[in-house]
Amino acid sequence: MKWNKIKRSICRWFLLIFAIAFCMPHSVFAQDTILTTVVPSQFQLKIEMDGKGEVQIGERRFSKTTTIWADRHTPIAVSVFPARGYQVKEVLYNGKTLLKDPQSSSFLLPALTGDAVLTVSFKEDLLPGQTGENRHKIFLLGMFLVFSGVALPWLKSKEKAFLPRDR
Amino acid sequence: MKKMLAVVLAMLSICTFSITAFAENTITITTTVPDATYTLNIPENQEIPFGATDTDIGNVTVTESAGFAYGKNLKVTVTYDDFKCDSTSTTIPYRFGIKADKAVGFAVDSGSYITFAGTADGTVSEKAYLKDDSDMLIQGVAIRAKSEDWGKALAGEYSTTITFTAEVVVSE
Repeated sequence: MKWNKIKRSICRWFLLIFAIAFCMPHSVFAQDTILTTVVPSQFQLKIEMDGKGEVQIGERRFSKTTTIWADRHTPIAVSVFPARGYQVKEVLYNGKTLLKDPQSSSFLLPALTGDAVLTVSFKEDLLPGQTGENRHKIFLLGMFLVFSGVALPWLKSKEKAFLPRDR
Repeated sequence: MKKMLAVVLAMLSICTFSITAFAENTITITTTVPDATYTLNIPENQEIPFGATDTDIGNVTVTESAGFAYGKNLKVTVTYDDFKCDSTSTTIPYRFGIKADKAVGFAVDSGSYITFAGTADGTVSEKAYLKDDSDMLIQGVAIRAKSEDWGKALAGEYSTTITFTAEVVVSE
């Protein structure tokens, strides 16, 4: 019986010490702020088109302004195809000139580090014989030659009919 | 006999005199030093946009403070670690930034502290200053990560915990 009393007394003291330890005001407090972020596996690439032509990325061709998703950390192969009568004016990547030689039709975009904009501008080709712009002149010239070929014999025959005969 | 009587009378008169020099009048003055109480306001949990190099996340302030005094300050230690992701091995290092007066900003290492100064009215200043520099009043806090570190990070969901540990201290 006496032993039980001692045990109870010890338990009470432990409980008291435990309660004091937890209820006493602590002088040091810690609070947390948790920040999260998501690193995407792909970014948006907006392809802006100005003029007539097409842009090929991978196996897809685009002739109008569009937005695609592209993998990060991967260079992107781009090919540019001007329409007949047009040539590449300039290629901008995020507002900066990418192509120094506009005659190049294929190039590599640097690996994306964020959403990006690729701007491809085409201009009308003014060089003769390349764009087909002078086709109508060739056609007219051909027609003129054909007409001349028909008209000359006809005029010859008329000349004989109208000129006075020498006797 | 007369002489004996005179001595006894003299002794009695001395003993019966009231001695004012031994009179005792004391007052007891008591005071209680209360526990310092305060509310520490820290930035909320939030999502940082990918690629952000300088993101304001709020401020660390103290309100409803009491039990402080001039020289009895509140010290808040800031500890943090890189952004980490469970599914990738890459981390995104960043630094805890402090925006002080006059648009001056500082990046502070993990383990640095800021101080809310105790005042004579028993409260602490609502805004803190950097370490012990009372001229550097903090207007906001931010995190700064380099663009190239964002670029190196593999895809995934990252998180980091900034711990603010407050402690009442007495300045020396």
